[in-house]
Amino acid sequence: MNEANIEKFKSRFAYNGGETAICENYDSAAEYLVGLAGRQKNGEDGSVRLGLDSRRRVFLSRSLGVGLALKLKTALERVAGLVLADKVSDESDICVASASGLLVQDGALIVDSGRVAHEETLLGGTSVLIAAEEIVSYDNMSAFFEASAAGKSSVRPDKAVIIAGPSKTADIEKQVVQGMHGPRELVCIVLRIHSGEINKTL
Amino acid sequence: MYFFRGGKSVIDIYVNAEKALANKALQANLKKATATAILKRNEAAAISETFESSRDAAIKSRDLSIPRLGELAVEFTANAGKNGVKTFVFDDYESARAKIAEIIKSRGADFIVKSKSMLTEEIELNGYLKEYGIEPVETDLGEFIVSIAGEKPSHLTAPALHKSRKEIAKLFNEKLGMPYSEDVEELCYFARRYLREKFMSAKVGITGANFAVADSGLIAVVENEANARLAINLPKTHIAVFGIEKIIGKLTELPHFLNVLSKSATGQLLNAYTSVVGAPDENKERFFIIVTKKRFEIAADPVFGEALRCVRCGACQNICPIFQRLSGHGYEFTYAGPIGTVLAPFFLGYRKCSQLIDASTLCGFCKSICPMKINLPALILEHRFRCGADPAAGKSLYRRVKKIFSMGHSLVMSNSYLSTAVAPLARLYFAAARKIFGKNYIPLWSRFSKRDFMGLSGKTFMERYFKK
Repeated sequence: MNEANIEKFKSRFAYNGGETAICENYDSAAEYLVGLAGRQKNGEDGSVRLGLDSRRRVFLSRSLGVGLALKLKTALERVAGLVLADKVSDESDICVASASGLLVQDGALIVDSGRVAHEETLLGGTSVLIAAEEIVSYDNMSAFFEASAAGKSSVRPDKAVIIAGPSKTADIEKQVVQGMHGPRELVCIVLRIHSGEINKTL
Repeated sequence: MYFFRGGKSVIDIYVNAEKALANKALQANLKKATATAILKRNEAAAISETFESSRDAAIKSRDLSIPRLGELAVEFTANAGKNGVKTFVFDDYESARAKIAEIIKSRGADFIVKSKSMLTEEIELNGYLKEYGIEPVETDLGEFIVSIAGEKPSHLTAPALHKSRKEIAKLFNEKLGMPYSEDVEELCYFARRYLREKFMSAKVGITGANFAVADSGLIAVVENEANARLAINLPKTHIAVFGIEKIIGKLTELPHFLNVLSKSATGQLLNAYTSVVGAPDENKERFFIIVTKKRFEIAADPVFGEALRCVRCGACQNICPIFQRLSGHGYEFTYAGPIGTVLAPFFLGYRKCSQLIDASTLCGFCKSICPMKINLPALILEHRFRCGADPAAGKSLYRRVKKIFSMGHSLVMSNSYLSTAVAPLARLYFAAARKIFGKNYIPLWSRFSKRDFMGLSGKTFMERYFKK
C-alpha cells in the first residue's frame, strides 16, 4: 500500500466513524491495544457491556494467524489487569481480528467471514481489525467485486462483509449514538510488517 | 361531512395534513431530520469520486433487469438453490405470510428477531405472526420504537422520525419499565440490552434484502446498527423476505447500487455494514421469500416501469415539501413520499388514492435527488390523468369538484375580458365571505381543504398598469 492510499483510506475511514493506527511493529500494535483498553468505557457505566467486571478483556481471533497472535499475546500479557479471553463474547472489551482488504475511496474494510466468525466483529465494545502490510487495497467496491467475481480475490463474494464504521443509530432525533447493537468503536491497525517476517521472527 | 369526503374508502390527505400540521413536535422533528438528511447526502455525494458514474451504471442495470424480472427470478432461484438456500416465490401476501409462519412454527420458535424490512410491512407480517402465536421482535431501533408504540414506520430509513426523545422516554418507561430518562444514549443502550437477550436465544431471524443478485444467488443487506448481521448470523434459521424488483443481473453491478444507496439514504460513504449473504453456515439453514405482487404489472407499464428502479433510499421523501410537513403516516401506505404516491394507486386503486396523488407540488426536487433519476413528478402527473379517466375514482365528489373548479379557472384565466369582468365580482364575494366565515371561503372546495385562500388584490394588474 502506498502512502497516498493509506492517507486517503485514513481520512475516509475517519469520515465513516472509524479510527486508523499505523504501527511499525507488533510491540507498538500491542501498546496501541493496551491504550484502547484503558480508554474505552465499556463496563464503567454498565451501558454496553452485558457482563460486568472491572478487568479489561481482550480477545484475539484465530484469523490473525499464529505468528501475529502470539506476538500480540506476549505483549498484552505484560499488562496488569488485562485478561486475554479464549472466546469472543459481549464481555470482551476488545475483539481483534484480521481484515482481508481495504476499500480506499469508501474508507471501508473487507472481512472474510470464512476466516473471521461474525461474532468476532459483532460482539464486544471495540472491534479492532488488523490490516497487514501486504493486504490488498482496492480503489472501491467495484474493483473488489470484479476481482472477487473473477476469482482473483482471496475473499469469495458470498463471504464478504464490508465494514465501514462502528455500529450506530440516529433513530432518535437524528442524534448519532455508537454501539447500537455492535461494537461502539471500530479501529483499523495498519501493521507495516509482512506476515512472512512475523513468522520468521518466531 | 365524513361521507362527502369519501369516508374510509379514500386516503384523506387534507384531514391528515391538518392533523400533522397541528402537531408542533412532529413538525420540529420532521424539519430537523429531513434537513440533516439532505445535507449529509449532498456532502457524501460530493466527496465520492464515483457517485455519478455509479448512478448511471445502476440505472442502466435496472433498466435492463426490469423487463426481465421473471427470467432473473428463475436464474436467482436456481443459483440460490446451488448455494443451499431454499427460495419461494409468491404473488399474494397470504401465501407468503403462511409460508413464513409455517417455517417458524416447524422450527419450534415462539418468537423471531427481525431487522427492518419494508416488504414485511407491506405484507403485514407482524400482525399475521401474532395471530399465529409468534412474537415478532423488531430489532432496528426505529422499528422497535414504533412497534412498542403500536404504530407504523413513518419513513423508509428512519421509522421513528415522527417521535421525540420525550415521547420515546415515556414509552420505554411505561412499556418496558426503563427508569425515565430523556438521554438518547441511555435510551439506545437500554434497547440494546433488552434486544441482546432476544438475539442470543432466537431460533429464527428475519431480514429484508436490499439487493438480490441473479447470477450468483446472493443477497446484499446494508445497515448501520448491526442488528441485521445479528439476525442473519446468530439464529439457526434465517429468512430473507424481499420483492422481486430487488433482483439485479450481475454481481459486478452490485457495487454501483451499494454506492448510490449509502449516500442517498443516510449520507454515508458506505453503510457501516454491508453483508453479502449466500450459503448458510454449517448446521444452519436459509430461506428466501420473494413477493411479486403488482410488480409485473408495474414493470409492464410503458410509463410506470421506471418506478421499479427505486432503491428505497428515502431521499425523495426527505426533500419533498409535502412529506416534510405530512410525515409518512399521512400517506396511509407502506411507502410514503413521492415514490409512495407513485406506487400506491397500483396497490390501493385510484378511488382510494384520488386525493393522495394530489399531494405533490410537482416541484421536481424529488426527481433531481433521486439516485435512480426516476421522473417522479411526471409519474404523479400521469396518475392524475389516469385517475380522471378511471370510472370509479373520476366520479368521486372530490374529483368532480376539482374538475369543476379547474374548468372554471381555465375558462376565466384564458379569456382576458372574462377575467377582468370576474375579478371585481370575486373581490366582492371574498370580502363578504371573510365577514361571514372569517376567511376566504369557497363553496364545496372548503369541504376538502381548510386552507384560507389568499384574497384577491385590490386592483387587477391591468388597472394598475393603466393607472401608471
